[in-house]
Amino acid sequence: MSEILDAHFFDYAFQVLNYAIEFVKAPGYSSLRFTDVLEKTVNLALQIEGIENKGFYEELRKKFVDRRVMSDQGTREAFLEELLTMFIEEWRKEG
Amino acid sequence: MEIVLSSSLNSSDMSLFDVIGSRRSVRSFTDEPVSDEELVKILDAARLAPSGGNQQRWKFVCVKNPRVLRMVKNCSPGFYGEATACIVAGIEGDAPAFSGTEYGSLVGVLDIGFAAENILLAAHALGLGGCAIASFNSSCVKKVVNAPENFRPTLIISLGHPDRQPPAPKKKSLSDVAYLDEWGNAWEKQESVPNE
Repeated sequence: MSEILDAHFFDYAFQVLNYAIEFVKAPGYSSLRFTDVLEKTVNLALQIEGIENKGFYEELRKKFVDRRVMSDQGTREAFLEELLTMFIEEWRKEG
Repeated sequence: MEIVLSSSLNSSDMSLFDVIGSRRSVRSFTDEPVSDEELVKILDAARLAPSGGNQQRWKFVCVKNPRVLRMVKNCSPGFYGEATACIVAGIEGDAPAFSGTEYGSLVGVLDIGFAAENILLAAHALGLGGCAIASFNSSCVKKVVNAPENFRPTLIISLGHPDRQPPAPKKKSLSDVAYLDEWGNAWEKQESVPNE
C-alpha cells in the first residue's frame, strides 16, 4: 500500500514539475504557479504518514528554501532542471 | 493493384485505403501488452518512411518496460491513456545541423512526421491504436531514455490495444481543401467523394 502511495505521489509531484517546465518560457505566471504547487506538494509529502521516502522530499524542500520566487527566466529554468535531475536520479535508485 | 498492409498477425486484411480511412487517434487502451513482433513490424514501417535527401537522421526508442513508460508519461502532459508501449521518435545530429539552416531542421521534423504516420498506420493495420504526442518535456524524455545530447525527441507515439474505436472526427470536405489547377477552382469530380 505504502509503495503504491509512494509511487503515485512521486508521479504526481513529477508531473507538476513537468507542467512548470512546460510553461517556463511562456509569458505570465503559469510556470511560477505550478512551481508553487510543487513546493506545497513537497511540503505535504513530509506530513503524510504513509509516504516512506521522506528523505527525497526533504532534499527537495531544502532546494525550495533558497528559491528566489521572482527570478529571471534563465534562473527559473535552471532551478526546475535541477529538480528534474533529482527526480530522475531518485527514480533510477528505485530500479 | 491492391496494396495490402496487413500482416499475418492480424486476421482481417485491410487495403491501404481502408487503413487510412479507419485510423483514429486512440487515447484509451486495454491492459493487453503489444507483442514484440508487433512492435518490430511497426518500427520497420517507421524505418521505411521517406526522408529528406534519404538522410534518415531519425532514431526511434521503443519503450515497453512499464517502469520507463511510466516516467515517459510523467514528463508528457499530452500523453493520455494507459498505453502499454510508446515510441519516442527524434532526430539525431550535431548541433550545427539544427541551428545552421532552418531548412535542415524543418526537413528533419517533417521526416519524423512521415515516420510517425507509418507507425500509426502500421499499428492500426495490426489492430492496435495510438496517438502522436507533441506535448512533452524533451529534456526529461532524453534523460529517462538515456539519449545522447545530440538527439532531439520530436514526437512520441503511444501504442496499445484500443478499448474502443473512437468515432470519426469531422473532416473538411475534399472540395474545401483541394483545388484543380488554380487556387479556389472547384473540381466537380471531388463532389462524388463521401465526406466522412
